[in-house]
Amino acid sequence: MKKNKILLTVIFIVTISISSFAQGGGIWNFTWNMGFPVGESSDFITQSSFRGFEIDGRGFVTDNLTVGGTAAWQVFYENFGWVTEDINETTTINGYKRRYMNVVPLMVNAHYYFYPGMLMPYVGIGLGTYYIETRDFLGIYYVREDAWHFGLAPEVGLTVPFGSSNAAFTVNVKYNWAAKTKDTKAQSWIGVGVGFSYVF
Amino acid sequence: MKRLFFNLSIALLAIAGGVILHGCYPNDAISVSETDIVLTGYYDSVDFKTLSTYYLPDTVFPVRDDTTDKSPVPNSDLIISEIAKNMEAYGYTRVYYSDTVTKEPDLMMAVAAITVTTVSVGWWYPYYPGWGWGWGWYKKAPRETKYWYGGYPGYYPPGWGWGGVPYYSTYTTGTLLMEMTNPVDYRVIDNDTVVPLYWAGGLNGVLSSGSNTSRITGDIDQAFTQSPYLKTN
Repeated sequence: MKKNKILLTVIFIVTISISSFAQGGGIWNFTWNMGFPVGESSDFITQSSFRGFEIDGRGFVTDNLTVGGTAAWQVFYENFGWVTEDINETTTINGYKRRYMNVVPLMVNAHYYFYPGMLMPYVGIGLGTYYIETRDFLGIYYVREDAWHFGLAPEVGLTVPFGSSNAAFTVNVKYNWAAKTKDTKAQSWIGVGVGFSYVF
Repeated sequence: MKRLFFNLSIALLAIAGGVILHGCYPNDAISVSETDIVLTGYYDSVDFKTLSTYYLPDTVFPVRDDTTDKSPVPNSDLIISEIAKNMEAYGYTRVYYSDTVTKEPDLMMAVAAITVTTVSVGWWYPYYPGWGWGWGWYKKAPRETKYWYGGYPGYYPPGWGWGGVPYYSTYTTGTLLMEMTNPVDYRVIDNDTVVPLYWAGGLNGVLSSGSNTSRITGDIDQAFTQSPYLKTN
């Protein structure tokens, strides 16, 4: 049921982004995302994620400034193997441990493009929410936590058009920060996205 | 027109991306032996070094709804002998029923086994990567009846594509409980006689249709390995 909601929200955001391109042109970015956990996230999972995908739609509101929206999905996973842990001073448990963290960032963003000729570097920030679900497995049993976190994602990137066509290559680095909620911890990771853009 | 077509393909790409990524999800298939959990706990006011003898029954007690079912627990002898082996390694002496009349053992051990069968129901849609999962959890210990639970049929009603093909899968988990008490250490609380558990160990795992013996012995050994405070030697 949760996945249904996420899918609908992704479609919603994409549609909103489309409608913001009344005039002035814009950029669509499609990137494959990597995630490198830092801070409290690296206490939970240390391994990098290479399972991430993002769609980002931006419209130029001035010559250099864009406003848009983004939807993405990132999966973090680590297999810890056999562990023996103390639950408390007198209780110990042994089992086969794995952890998952599933993240869906949904954000609006604004970016400033510098226009020196063939390259289009930019800086910007996204603001929105991260839906994060964590699962801590031992054998067939797991502890699951999920929450919608407020989030910020400052970003720098580069879009390089292929000659005079509308297509471009794009790369970005983003610091993803999801705030802590009443019941769950904050999460943060560095995202690196590589992909293609459509500039119009 | 071109713009509309383009925008529509963006929306489809978003959906496609989600579906493809679902396929990329880390495959977490684990083997049956990787489902094993060993949990131990103890009463920290006890100094186990002062204890030396224990009583262990010669069969494992099956916990069953149907109390007329007197069939033995599979691998009962192996379980008892493995526990006895570990206790001896930790410096304990086993006393038998005929001896208990003259010398009361310091510890009484009870060993019980329970099996639980879980049935899950899902619908498989041929064109879609199986999001229509209906998990049917029903734990009914310990009779091995297959209980049918109608889980929800996923997103698409029958008639989209072909309509779904239901499938069932079951698995049985086995739990072994080992408990240690001191027969002379009891308290009366609110007119109830309460005996504190000095030590408890539990093993749980999905039973394989083949042999489970190496897992049983390995997990019993692990329960004692993670309880070094039991040592008297």
